Amino acid sequence: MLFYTPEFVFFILCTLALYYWLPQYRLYTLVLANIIFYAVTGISMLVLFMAVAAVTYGLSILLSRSRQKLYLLIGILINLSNLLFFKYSLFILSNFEKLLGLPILNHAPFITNLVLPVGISFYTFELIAYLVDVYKGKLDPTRNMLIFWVFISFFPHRIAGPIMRGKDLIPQVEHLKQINFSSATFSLGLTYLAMGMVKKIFIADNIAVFVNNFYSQGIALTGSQAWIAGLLYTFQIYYDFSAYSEMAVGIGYLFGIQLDLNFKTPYLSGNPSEFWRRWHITLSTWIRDYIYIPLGGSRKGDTRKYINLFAAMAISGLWHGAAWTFVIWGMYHGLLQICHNLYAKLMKCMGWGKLTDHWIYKAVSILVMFNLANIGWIFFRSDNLSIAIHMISSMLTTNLLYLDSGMYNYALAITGLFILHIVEYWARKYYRRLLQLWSSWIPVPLRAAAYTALIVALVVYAPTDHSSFIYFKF
Amino acid sequence: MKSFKYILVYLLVIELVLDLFNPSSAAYSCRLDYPIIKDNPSNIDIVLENINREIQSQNLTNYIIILGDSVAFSGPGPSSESLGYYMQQLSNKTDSKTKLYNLSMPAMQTGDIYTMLLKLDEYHISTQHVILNIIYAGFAERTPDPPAVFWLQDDLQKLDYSSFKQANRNDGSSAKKQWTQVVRKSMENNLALFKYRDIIKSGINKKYHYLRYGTVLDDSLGDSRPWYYKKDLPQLLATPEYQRDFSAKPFDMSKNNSQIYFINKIAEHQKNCHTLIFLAGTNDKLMNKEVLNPGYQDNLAKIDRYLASLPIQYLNCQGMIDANYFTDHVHLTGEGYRQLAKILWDTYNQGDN
Repeated sequence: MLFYTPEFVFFILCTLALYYWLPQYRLYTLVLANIIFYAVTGISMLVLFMAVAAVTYGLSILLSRSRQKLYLLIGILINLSNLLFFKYSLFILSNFEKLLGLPILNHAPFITNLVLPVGISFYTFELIAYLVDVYKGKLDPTRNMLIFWVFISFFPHRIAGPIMRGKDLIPQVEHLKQINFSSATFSLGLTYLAMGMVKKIFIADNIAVFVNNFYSQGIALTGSQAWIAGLLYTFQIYYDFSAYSEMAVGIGYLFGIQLDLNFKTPYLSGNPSEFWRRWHITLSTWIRDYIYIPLGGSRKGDTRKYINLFAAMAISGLWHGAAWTFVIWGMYHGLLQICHNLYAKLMKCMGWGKLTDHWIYKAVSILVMFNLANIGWIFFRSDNLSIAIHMISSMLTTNLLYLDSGMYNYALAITGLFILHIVEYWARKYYRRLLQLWSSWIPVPLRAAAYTALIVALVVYAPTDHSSFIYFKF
Repeated sequence: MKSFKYILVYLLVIELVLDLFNPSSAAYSCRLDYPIIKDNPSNIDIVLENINREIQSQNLTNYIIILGDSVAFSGPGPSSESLGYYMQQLSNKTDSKTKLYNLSMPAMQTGDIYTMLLKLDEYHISTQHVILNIIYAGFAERTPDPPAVFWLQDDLQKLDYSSFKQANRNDGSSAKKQWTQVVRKSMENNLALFKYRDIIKSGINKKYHYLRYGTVLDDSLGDSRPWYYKKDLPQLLATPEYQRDFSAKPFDMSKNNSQIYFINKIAEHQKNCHTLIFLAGTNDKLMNKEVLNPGYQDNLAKIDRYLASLPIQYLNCQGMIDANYFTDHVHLTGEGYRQLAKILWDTYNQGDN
């Protein structure tokens, strides 16, 4: 159920009405709403999700007794097996098939027909994080299964994040009855929701048409066409995924619940480390806390730190999808992080550290990082490695000052999208001031007319077909 | 939140205005607007509502409904070179001033045509005068594609459940509906903003095109040049998907064939009405090998015998239009449709006498 469909409008209005009308039954309202929301993806998917959640919940209770490590391992194993089976079994077996030259998949044809449960990658990470946090004593396990269920299944974030931690969401669920309706919070929620819808409906979906067209040409793309295709996708994936995340955060606010922001205008990052602090933030912090640091982080010397960085980013890539293109994308970002670490060290040794504060350095580094991220997205979007390599080699060998005819409008659009990204940065930074100006300068009837026009535009232009979000398939 | 009350009032006004100034005429111009209907077949209801209003307000009694697939729709050319347009021109020259409504859609199957007749009843639009188009391929075995009801499954389920079951027995498709679809349908039926959104969007796009380029947006569906300019066409028509349309395998002419089942239902529905069924002709120059196949000829003879036996006026258009006026194997150029319109107009009026 996509957030901009008529059925979701009906669903959310009913849920909100019950939620605020019957505050003492809020927990039950959300329990039911989450079940209904997830059941739309399929009853069998719901049963699987509930079973995995129930087992994890049971094990989290057992973690307060003896043999904690065993229960933790069982919990992680069950969750990873679920993910591995549904998401990676075909990938693993087909690779073994190629490696050994044996027709393995012929003996297990059902593997090729497996349907990926919606949101499995996201809920698996949340469940593992919950178990680890309880094991490490960072979080007391909740003794109320309904609270646990609302935490893990809260519908705004269930399909594609943000990846929430128990310590952030469970206390909010425990105090649902105390949440008072606040017009400021509700307005903030509507603002995020509207911003997400505008990004998805008016920007991401329109870019998608051109991206699909370019990428369908694969190796026939010239160097400048490959640049345009890559840059368009760079913006498509940002506007698509940040749209979903903002809608999720917005819907959370409508219930008075705060979900974590996933994006902070990432294409204005000056280096790979900053990029990952601004792109898919809840995933990068998850990777940091539950993979990179347990592997040793930076505690065991530089060489080990770089290996850990590389491994963590490769796993992050694999988490996105069961294909080598995703793994290579992750490894590419791992390499970027290593190179940046070495570069930062060199700058420090040379005594050029202060140079990084100069605005020209910052502007150039943003431009460089933006293009490096763009090259990474080629791996992410391409159907296979050979197309990605072909596109990147065409990009790197073409005359950057020459554009094929017909590409000027795209170049102009890309410039516009980058300017829009900067505008978004400013709008976020000066949100309160802008809001104040908007409220004090524009009279209420005019403001309402603008909101109504936006609602009408969103209803009219919301896609009626089965358009979806890129991250739904992860 | 101060704005909330105003927003509610504005939205209410928009609802009322949209219902009052029903913008559905944008979805019909000599024929249905294919992009609007294709993405959401329930938009047909909006067009039917509008036709009903027009009939009521103008007290129309003399009108003909055209139903059929892409041939009656008149693809791939523009609506200004369509069957409905040319027949209306012919009608305007007579004293009768008969109004023509072309409700055909590309890929419309006989199951859809039958459902459309039921929908016309539902909207109190008379089916007293109807022209229907069928093609040879409709009688060929379905595997299970194309389904016997392509566009209007939901409507058939509602209007004639036993026929719906019959169609799905043949096609194996499912009738299960999720609550989300029910809610969506209900909101689209009851809230004008949701109901007319495709039409508003299309209207904005057309207006934008006009303002930007100073011309009316071309509603052609494809290349409407004659077939002999299209080098890749013979290769395309040799693919199994198209070869099925000229199957020489003996047709099953019993009720087990969904085509026969629905034509019988149509004949039953059109009892005491003036109905003309025309079998669209095939480009016998381009499809020479297929058309001359004895199996094809046998099947064609079977179709002729069967349709002639029904209490409905029947016309086989094979060979009536010169091959030069075809854009491909069955579709025509603007001139081809003009000639077809003349043939149908004359034939239909002869049937009246």
